[in-house]
Amino acid sequence: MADIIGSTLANKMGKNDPEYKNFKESFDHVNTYFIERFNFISDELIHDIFSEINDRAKDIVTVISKNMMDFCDLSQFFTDCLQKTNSQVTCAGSLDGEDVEEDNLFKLIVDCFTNLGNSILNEDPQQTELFFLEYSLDAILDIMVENEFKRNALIVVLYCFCQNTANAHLRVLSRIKSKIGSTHKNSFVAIVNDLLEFDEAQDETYLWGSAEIFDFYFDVAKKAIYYNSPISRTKSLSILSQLAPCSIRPVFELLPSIKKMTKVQSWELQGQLLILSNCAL
Amino acid sequence: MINQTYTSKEAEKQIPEFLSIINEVFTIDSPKATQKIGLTYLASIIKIFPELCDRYLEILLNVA
Repeated sequence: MADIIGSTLANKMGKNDPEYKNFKESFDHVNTYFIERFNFISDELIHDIFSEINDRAKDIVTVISKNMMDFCDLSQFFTDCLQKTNSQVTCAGSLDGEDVEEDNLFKLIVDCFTNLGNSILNEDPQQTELFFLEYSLDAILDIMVENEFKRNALIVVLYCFCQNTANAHLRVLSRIKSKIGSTHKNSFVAIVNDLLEFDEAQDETYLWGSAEIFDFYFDVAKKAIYYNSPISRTKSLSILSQLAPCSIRPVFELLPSIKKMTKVQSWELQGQLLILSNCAL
Repeated sequence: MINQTYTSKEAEKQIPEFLSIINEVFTIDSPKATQKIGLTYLASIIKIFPELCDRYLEILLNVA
């Protein structure tokens, strides 16, 4: 990793670049330099570095899979970069021509992280999930709670370090609940609502045919219906709408509370009420 | 596969509840965005519940 960052910066940072002096002085601690001076390094160079990491993902995965403790450093590196990147910035690589379409930098880093995640997962699924839940999840959730745009882009990361099974997804969901379920309730509901999309139709069955997964989602929606935020109540109705094709009966017990929402002046909430009614009918 | 399995007793009780939600939310005075969502999603059930038809048409003409 240090090799990739060091050599990319050395090759592509011009001597006239204001950062060049700082870079040369920190050559032995290039990872630390990169994170500390992240906001001063040009977007094109950051684009180059993550493109290079993506291209050499195989080498990185080989190193990580030999010693999973390195996973912690890798995860820390990515979460620091994601934390510092503006989610709206788009740019192309330093060698790309003018006619090349620009990439969203934040999304590029996320793609790079998920690509590495999937490859490490293939090498050692159990350790990858364990290390992700223990050492990465907190930092990722912090970013997701802080910034709504970043939350939408990061949602894909949450499931890419665990196997594609009902039990593995349930472990991730439970861990997210234990981390932010009571401290950041509104973000928690939004994240669960987004994750439902990945669980909705799996294995040609709704929610993997798993009653536990259904109960988890239903429980979150049931509680969120009473939250103050109309956005969270809208998310709650959205979860119920997605669960309705699987089983509508549990929704009946919530109807008195749902009916009270018709008076709320929020077009998203009212729209979601119509969607839920359509799903139920 | 969608399996909406209402018993006739449940249907008798719950369907009017959902129809009343629609009647309260999907009105000529509701926000345009809500109306557009209603027009999109309720189109599929208008055949089964013709009582929604008048309201649907009124809003459709209003939005246009």
